[in-house]
Amino acid sequence: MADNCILEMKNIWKIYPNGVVANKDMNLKVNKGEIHALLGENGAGKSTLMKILFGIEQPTKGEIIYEGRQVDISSPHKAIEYGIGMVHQHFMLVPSLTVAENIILGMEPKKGLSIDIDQAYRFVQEQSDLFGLPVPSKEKVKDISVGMKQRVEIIKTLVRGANLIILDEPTAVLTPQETVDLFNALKNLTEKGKTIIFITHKLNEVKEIADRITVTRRGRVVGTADVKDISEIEMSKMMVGRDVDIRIEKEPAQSGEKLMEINDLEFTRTDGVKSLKGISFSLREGEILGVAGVEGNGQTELVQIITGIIPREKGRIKLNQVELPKITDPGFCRDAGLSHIPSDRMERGVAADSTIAENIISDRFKKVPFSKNGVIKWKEVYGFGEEMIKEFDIRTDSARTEIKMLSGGNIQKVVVAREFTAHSKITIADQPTRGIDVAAADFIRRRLVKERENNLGVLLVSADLTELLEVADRIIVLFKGEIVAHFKEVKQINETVLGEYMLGIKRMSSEEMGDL
Amino acid sequence: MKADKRFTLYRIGISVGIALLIGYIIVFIASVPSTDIAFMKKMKEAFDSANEAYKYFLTGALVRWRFTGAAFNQSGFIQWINEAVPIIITGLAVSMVFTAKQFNIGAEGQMFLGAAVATAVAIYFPGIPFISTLLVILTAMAVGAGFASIPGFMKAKLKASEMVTSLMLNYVAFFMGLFIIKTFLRDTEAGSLVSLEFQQQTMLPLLNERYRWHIGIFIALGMTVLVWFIMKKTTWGYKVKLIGDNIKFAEYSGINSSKMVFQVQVAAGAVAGSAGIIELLGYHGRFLWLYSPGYGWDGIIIATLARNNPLFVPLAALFLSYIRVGAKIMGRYTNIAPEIVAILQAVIILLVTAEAFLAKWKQRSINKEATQSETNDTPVQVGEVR
Repeated sequence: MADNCILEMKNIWKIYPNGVVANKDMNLKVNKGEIHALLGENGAGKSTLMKILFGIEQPTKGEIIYEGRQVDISSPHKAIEYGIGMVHQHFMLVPSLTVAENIILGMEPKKGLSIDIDQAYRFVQEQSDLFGLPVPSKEKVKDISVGMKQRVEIIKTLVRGANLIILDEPTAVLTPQETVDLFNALKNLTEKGKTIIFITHKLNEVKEIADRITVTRRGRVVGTADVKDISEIEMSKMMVGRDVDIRIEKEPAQSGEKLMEINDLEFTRTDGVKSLKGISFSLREGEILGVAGVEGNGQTELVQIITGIIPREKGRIKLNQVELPKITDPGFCRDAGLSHIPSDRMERGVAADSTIAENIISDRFKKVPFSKNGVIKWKEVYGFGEEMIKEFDIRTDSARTEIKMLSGGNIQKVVVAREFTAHSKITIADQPTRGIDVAAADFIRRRLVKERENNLGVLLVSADLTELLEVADRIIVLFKGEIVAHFKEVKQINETVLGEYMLGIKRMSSEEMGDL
Repeated sequence: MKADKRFTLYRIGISVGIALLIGYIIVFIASVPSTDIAFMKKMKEAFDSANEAYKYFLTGALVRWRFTGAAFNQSGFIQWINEAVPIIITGLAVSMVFTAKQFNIGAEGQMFLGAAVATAVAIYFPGIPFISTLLVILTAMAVGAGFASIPGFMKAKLKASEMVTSLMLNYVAFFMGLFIIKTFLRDTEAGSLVSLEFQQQTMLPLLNERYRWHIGIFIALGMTVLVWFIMKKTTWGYKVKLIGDNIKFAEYSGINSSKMVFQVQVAAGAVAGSAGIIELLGYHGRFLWLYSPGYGWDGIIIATLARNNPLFVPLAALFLSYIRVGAKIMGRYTNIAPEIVAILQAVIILLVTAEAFLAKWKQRSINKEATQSETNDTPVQVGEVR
């Protein structure tokens, strides 16, 4: 066994400058030629461990043994030299360059002073044939699909001589079809002797592709096991530390009056792309309307227009019978009874240097009991903050803790605590569980269902199809700024069906879609 | 985190220490005599005179050194307090705009122009104790606010960088102020370019006639409490903090951010506008600045040292004026130029604002704190290792 081991990380500690302990004495052993899944909730320390391995972060303590010798990986550059490659969640590609140009960036074949572009294409072709990863080498990166971009990233690491490839949550952005392709490609690579570390928090993927897993929880390694010896239930127990009931029970929807009406909405982005092409639908009391779609097909613009962040180009929006003015004003939308869980919590959902309580009252500080005659009653504010910490299970010692000290899941709970206690009739939840741990995600989904049971309306935009199918009552699919499908009975469909519409392979006629 | 706050304090303390040390070395080098004597004797002399100079520098504001011993230096003490007054006020103004992350550095111009315009009121409005004083100060505040509204408006409506506009407008304010004094308010009897004298009744009451200790310090402290209350206790201050922390989040929460960006700059302009005239009302009794006194720039130093916390502003201002008065006294009794204080200021600001300074030490103490709390944490059960 020992000679088969390609990588060993021993007693790794990582303490960040803000005092967050991300890794506590973690150990990881990876064998040559295997697909090793690193499983854990967000905040469990798996990404940090991989950043240390790739030289992005330096460990506070601990050692790394790679191919039998102790190594000091001080930078990603060093890691590449050792033959370690990493594919990040957010792609590091230049959109305006072609696929081949992206792959050879920094190692261009030269002809005199200029790049030998023909040789570059030949080289990329050779490499992609060799690894069985076909890519359209002459197309520009901005024109290819997300799955293809990921493939380009993988080839990028391979041509730089990577023998160990780290993939950081590679399936988070992929459709089911693209995921199948990726998994085939990965299996192919291990047959050629490459080793793969696969970061994920999706159990079914582990079962499908990985040979061995290492489970992490709260900065520690819980254990390592062969995948064939362990069931999904066991894995989830190791990961969460307790049983999580993955299924959410809910009654059939009792939808009532129309809460929100969207009519013929249009929007053109600054780069000239028409990202919304006349969208109409409505949201009713007591229902969760899911919006599915590959990222960049108009969901972001739809949410930002409804919530008053960007101005619409054309069309009408009615919230609670109130017509939305053309000028942008998130405050107006809130007053009209709208709550908004933004997709990027750090960008828009919180103020990182302010305390939990200050963040929770940001939409209601003018109201009683939080202030009177323009003077804030901090005692009430912090009292309410403590209440919210209890009710929403925010893991911290006080409402005076600054947001930046919390983990992603806990920050999201702060956002959710504010939005769910705003007494709004409509909640726009944009990727509400992205990048947070299973328990917190489960908690948030249950709260969404509870909203609906209280006869409120929820618009759920999510890239997580399992979540959509689990939580939503109806689903619409956006493709290139249009609604291409509408499912009134979510129980009758699955991820594959949704995926076909999301990729534009199929589309429904307006009769099939019926009343939106 | 406790380590974080403690560290900030340490860092300021150590920065001051290092600055004083560097200052001492410079004084020492400057004190080496150029006469042709033995090296050791030279060192000894330099050492003695550097110690002497530093004695005046560090204690001169409070202690009067005589052959018979030490006595309380009343004039130094009063000078110390008086000099802190305008820079407390500009420090407050700057800390307000910095809290909103608006880098409006126009306090100097607001202060100068406010003082110049209010001079007219102080000269011509009949002197009624309290009433006319208040009117003069309010005039200066209104002028400061009005002048600050220009970069504020351009930022809020046109997204023009307030840093550039406020900086350039300082020159406009300076020459406009001088123009007003020269053209309308000049005292032609006086030997230099100064304004006519203020109405006697309009001047601030004095606590000490001889050294002209005026009540400006109480005005400045009162303003400190007021600004602290506004920034920390009101919904307005909360909004200012929120737009400074994350403006997108503030907008998302329903706060009109361009309105707030404008309001905070105008409010700070009002505060800054009063800084200059209060000194003139208390001490000089007429407008006499031929060049800008720099209180607006000092405000930036003070707000930075005070970490934009209004309650720390008087401490930072008193510290700055203490070393300045000390340096002046040192200059009077020794051959060392008082300008050395500028070097000390620069070193302190550099070290206090340099994030990486002592960062390793900070990380070590955080590591220690984190590992300690870890041991109290129930470890995760380890099992199923195959």
